[in-house]
Amino acid sequence: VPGRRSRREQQLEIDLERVRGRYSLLRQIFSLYSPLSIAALYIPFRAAQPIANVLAGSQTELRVSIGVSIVYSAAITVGGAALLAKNRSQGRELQRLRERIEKLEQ
Amino acid sequence: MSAVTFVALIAWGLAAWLAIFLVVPSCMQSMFRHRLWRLRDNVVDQIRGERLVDAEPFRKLVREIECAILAAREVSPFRITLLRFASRDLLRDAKFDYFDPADVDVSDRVLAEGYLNELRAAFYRQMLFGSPSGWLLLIVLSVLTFPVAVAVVLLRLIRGIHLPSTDLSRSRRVGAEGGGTQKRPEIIVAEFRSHRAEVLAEVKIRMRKELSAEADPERAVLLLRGRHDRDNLSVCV
Repeated sequence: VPGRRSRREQQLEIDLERVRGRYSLLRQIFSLYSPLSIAALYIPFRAAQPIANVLAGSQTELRVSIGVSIVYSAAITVGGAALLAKNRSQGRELQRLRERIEKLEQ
Repeated sequence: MSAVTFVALIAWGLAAWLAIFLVVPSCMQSMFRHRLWRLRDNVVDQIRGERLVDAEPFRKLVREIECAILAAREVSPFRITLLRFASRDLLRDAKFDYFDPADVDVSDRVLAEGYLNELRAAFYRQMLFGSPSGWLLLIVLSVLTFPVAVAVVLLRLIRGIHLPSTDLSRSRRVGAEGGGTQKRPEIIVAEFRSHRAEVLAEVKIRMRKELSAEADPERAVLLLRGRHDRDNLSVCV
């Protein structure tokens, strides 16, 4: 009968809804993973602090600062390069769209 | 450690985390979407221009590309694993109406396969380079495949083993010997590529001639200015 869905189609729709529900639940659970893992880093840092205090010399703070600066600079450079690449791609895309619109308008 | 250093460390760490884990994946997603929009518009232009024998299967491809554009955020090994896990005991008997080059007319099949390969390439590139889980997978794959690659290279160097490689001239000969009327798809693609490269080279030479000051200085300046204005307009709008 036209306009009436078969049992198979109805079952498929129900299954898809169930998959969607499960997937969003799993994503919500795992979205907590990153902040929790960062927070969990506090425990080993806290444990390592007394050992680091004993071993630390006068140059330790400077070394940490230099190391962190290098990591920070590398991360910002990678992020900047990605932004630059994206901007270029966006520019090309806009140009292509303009050309396509011109072609369609003609 | 002074309080200032501590705060600076936290701030730098957060900035680095944002740059790597949010900015880079977001940019990669954008570029993935741009690639897919280009592909989608190509297919739609072919359909609108009535250059295809049967456009209906290609409409399926357009729908698939549009779905991929919408779901670009979900294209990562981690999320796909989650999706597989979520649908582990469901959708077993479900049959989805995917685009299949076999449904396409023979004359359009090479084109269809080309589009599908482009879609797959974009998808796998995004999978591997577009998300932190993809980077992790890439590192694992690199570590696993590195010894194999080194062993292959060493074998080739030490024993002089000639490993099979793609030899297009040979496949051309095989195609010519095998009847000569029907070309194999890879030969057609290779011929198309070489022809495209020739045309591009020709265009470059002509442009260089047109733009060279020796040929016609005023015309060259006008051409340059025209191109510049057009580019600016296209980007600014």
